[in-house]
Amino acid sequence: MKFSLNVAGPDFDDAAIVNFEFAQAALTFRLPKHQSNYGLPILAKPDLQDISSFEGELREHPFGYLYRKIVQQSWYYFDENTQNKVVKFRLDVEHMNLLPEQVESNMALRPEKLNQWLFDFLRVMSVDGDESLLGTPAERENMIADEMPLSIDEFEYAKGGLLPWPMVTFGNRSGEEPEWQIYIPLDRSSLLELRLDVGVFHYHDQGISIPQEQQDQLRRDIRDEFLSHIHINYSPELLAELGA
Amino acid sequence: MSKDIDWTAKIPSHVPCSARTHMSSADMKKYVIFSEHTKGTTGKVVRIKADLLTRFLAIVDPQVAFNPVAPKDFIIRQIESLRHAAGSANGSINNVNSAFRYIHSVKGMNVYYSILNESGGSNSPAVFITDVRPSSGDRIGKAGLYSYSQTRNRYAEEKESADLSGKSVFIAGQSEDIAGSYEKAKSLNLTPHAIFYCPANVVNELGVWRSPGQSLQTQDAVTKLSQHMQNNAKKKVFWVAEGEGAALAEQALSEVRGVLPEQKMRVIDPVADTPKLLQKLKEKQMKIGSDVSMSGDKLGNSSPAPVEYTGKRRDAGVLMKSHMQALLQELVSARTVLENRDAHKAEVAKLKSNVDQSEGFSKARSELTAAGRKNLIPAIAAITFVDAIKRL
Repeated sequence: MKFSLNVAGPDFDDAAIVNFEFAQAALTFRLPKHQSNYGLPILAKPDLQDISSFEGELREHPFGYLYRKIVQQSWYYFDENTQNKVVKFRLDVEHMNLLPEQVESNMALRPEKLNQWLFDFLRVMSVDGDESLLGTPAERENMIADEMPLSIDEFEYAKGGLLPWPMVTFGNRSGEEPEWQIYIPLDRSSLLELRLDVGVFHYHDQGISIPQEQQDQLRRDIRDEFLSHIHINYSPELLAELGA
Repeated sequence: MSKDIDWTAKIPSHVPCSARTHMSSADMKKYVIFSEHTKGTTGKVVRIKADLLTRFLAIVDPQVAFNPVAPKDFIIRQIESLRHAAGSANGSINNVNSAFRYIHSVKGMNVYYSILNESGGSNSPAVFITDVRPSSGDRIGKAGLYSYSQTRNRYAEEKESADLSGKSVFIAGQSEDIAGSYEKAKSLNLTPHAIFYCPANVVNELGVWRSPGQSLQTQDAVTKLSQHMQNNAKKKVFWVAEGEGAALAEQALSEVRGVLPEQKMRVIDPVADTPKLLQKLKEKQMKIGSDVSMSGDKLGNSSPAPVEYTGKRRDAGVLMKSHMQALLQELVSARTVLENRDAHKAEVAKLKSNVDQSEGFSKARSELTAAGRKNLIPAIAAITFVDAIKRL
């Protein structure tokens, strides 16, 4: 697809279709070829129904839950005139296994609860896990410094419907290189976290700079093209549970 | 894309006074004809400053530049095309402060040039290439010390007061973002506690690329690094400087007051004035070496040489050859402050075996200097810049 400012990227219609099977959901999306010089891409095998059989690294987050990275890939968008790299898209997808009490409360499948959990997660993150600081001025100061959303009202949604995908933006206030995190509910016990780092290159030495507004628009357009190719299908049992 | 030029930050080095329209005969001697095709038979004469040889070779891989099968990479041709330059008309960017200065961007390189009348015989306008510098885009504009936060799952900038006691810091050279710097450290078998990241436009102004018009952003990067060194002056900090990171370290050390006897530095593939860096390290009483075990940090090979050339960076190799004698001298005299003498001895022996190759450099340089002196007598055939490259 061609974007504003003569920027063109990978052809998504030609990109590989990636498919992941979870216990109660199947996810498909388009993944352009890995292009970055640094870092090897990661792509887990499609069958992710049983976390214990996962071959990659299963890690424990400092907040207790287990997670594993199932995708890590980067690709570029170029200025068609100069062939300069204009945007680097870095995608990380992590499969999060929720804690027993979170499974018990069924928060993954209840949008309001999911939003509340996500906001609390950000708050705990802002104080580096030191819960004694929650509610103190330090919490809000850190959230402002880290440019996190300051309320649930600041969340956006990458997709609406029965199970919306909340999208939080880090670094939204300064307008510099914000990063998006999108949460996709999979079933009672797990979520997907998508991290989209869509960064614009600067060429100060060539006297080129793109006005901030145009950068923001370009980044959003590129993000939306990627998101438009993500589809999820839930099992009939899960849909019945949701009353769909 | 719009072009918003901040020329205050980018005054090319070696440029004659902006008000001049003539290149004086004294200055003419510093320039040589670029190639066979730029002698003025068609278009303007294109001349280049003779002492840009090392820079040019560090940026441009001759294997690629002379390869006619890959026209996009055929940098030599693109520079030759400047003979038709009428300033901004051919895609170059004009310097608003001076009608005589331009930048022409070719793949991976910015060519700074002026169009001035020659002295001597013809008096006609010629293209004078005054500087060449690497060019690459970067994503993150802010230099600084970054570390990975497990809780936040991202890199965050450390405060100026960061306590680096017992920690290792990778001073990264060229990379397009912080994650890229970290990946580079990993490829060198290093897992440092923190990364000192430097955006490309800063990196491209450092060390051998250093110019009188260094931008505020570059100065800011130098000051930030020196403050981290200074604030941890009495603490054990282990620095690993890679590529252009070595040039940043060299400049930062100049701004440190007093000495840093507790700190150590290891240098990998320096794209820097390495002999000068070694002098600075000695001056600051820093240990040059690597035999350290840092808490929780994996530092790869336990006994690498204090200054190591991995062969992964062509530009580091070119610079090494170009300042071989001075480098050997500094390395030999630095042995008292070296941590790992055996690896050091092996590295020095390896360098000595390369001395022959560095002699080619000295010869090419003196031939070009001689060619410059013949500039004013057009009848005498002299070696061109491209000839000198081909002979190397």
